[in-house]
Amino acid sequence: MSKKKGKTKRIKPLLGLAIVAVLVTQYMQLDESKKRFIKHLAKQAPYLPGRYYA
Amino acid sequence: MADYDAIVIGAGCGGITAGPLLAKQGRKVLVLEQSERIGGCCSTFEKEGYNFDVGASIVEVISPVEAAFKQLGTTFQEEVDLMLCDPIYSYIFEDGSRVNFPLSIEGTAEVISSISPEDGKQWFELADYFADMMNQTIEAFFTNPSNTIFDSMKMVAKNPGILRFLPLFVKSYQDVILKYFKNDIIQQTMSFQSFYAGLPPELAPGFIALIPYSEHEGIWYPRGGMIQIPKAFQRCGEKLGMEIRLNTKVDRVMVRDRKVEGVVLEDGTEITSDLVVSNVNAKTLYLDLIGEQHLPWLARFGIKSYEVSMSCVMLYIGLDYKPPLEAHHSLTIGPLEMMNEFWWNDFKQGRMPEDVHGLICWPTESDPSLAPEGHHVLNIMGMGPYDLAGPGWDEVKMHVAEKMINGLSETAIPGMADHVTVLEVSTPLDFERRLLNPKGAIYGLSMDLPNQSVFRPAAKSKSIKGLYLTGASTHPGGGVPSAIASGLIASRLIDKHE
Repeated sequence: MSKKKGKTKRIKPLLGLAIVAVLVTQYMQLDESKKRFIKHLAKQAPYLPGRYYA
Repeated sequence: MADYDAIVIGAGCGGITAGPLLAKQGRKVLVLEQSERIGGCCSTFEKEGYNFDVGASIVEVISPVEAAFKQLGTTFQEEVDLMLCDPIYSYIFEDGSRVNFPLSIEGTAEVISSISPEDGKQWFELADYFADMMNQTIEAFFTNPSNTIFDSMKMVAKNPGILRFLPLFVKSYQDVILKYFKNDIIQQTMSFQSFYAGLPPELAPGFIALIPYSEHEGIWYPRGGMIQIPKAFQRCGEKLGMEIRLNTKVDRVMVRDRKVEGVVLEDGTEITSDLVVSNVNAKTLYLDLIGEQHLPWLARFGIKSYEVSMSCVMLYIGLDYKPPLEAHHSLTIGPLEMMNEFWWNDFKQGRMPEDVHGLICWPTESDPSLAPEGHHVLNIMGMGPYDLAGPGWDEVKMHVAEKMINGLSETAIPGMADHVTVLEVSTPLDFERRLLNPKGAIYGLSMDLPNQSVFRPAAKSKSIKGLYLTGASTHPGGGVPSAIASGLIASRLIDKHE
């Protein structure tokens, strides 16, 4: 059981990195207009929890 | 015992709707308006015999307005003489050529097909899609609160069809328009409407692309000017005992232990109530009228982060001739990409654009009584940044107005410059001064996704007990039907909770 746990522990960060890599690659392939749209939304993401309680 | 059961701050569309609805609930209601007129942006003023609408120029998507009047025991049509506008737009291109879109979907398809047969077919696709969306979502969206994730879940549970339109929330307005239309001319006719949400096509959320369709369900002008809509609510409210005081500015909201106790006027008078309904911009309300010391830290952080919506310059022009226009509403437009470039290269840099692109409203086309006989009124809206690069608005306003008039006289409205008899100008600074709209914001807060729905300031305050919000800076957002809907939503929440 602990071998399996160890394996999962190693895979999770790799999986996370792979997902980030895919997202970044997809983002880089977008046209400039779509990038601006995503940036415009993304820069407001940190404010969402506060706005939910406004 | 409190002076009133409910105090409403501001007689803009949200407040002047909430007041009568609360009076209908049997409450003793006081509405306090800081200016000399009710209506806020949905108001009309007179100068030298001409009547000018302050900001809003038509009303559409009238179902929430009808719902509010129904709750008051009457109908919108009984209270206001509404005139249907047809054609809905005359589009004026940069070379002065024009295309008119009639009210009917089929008629518009014919016009589009004469330019691009393929886009004519796509117009029917877009119309069907958004007609379906309106059927599924409008009532839910405009009559239900969106305070919490549970409100949203309840809305979806009652109307699961809404889920089909979720992609519109992660697409831009531009994405939607470009998906349907390939012809540049047709794209231009759909490019300006993103600014009704205060954003350029590439930043406005995809669901705003509803607007080019929704206007075909009807746009109406009230005989006597836009102020007739808030006046109708005022009449209904006063019959129910609602009191309204003009020229009465609220200095602050009294709060103790995170509970409202009433308001303090500019002259120091205290008026008590356990219920305060605010039609003031939410940022101004929480940070100035209430004070951030009364807010939990997370709410304070959220409220400070909000961006206000775009501002504009309005020209109110009296003419001694009939302008060569073809509809109640004309739009001077350019390529879709140019609308985006204007936003980044001019508006965000504090500059007015070189060319005039905006909305020309000709209300005397629908209601000649707004001007002396043979004379006409134009209300012209152009985008104007609040923070100008260079000299301030007070210094440049007349120069800007002259430039806009001369520019429009060259192509869109030939001869106009020689026939101006009355001119009044409202800059973003004037909107801030007269209507207390922070930075002259005409739609409250920004209308993009991170400022929508559960992320928009809640109708039932989550920080202060007994405080409710109406108007453009709460759900559903800016615009006449949305602001009226917010008054309806607030009154229903109050009926449930207070």
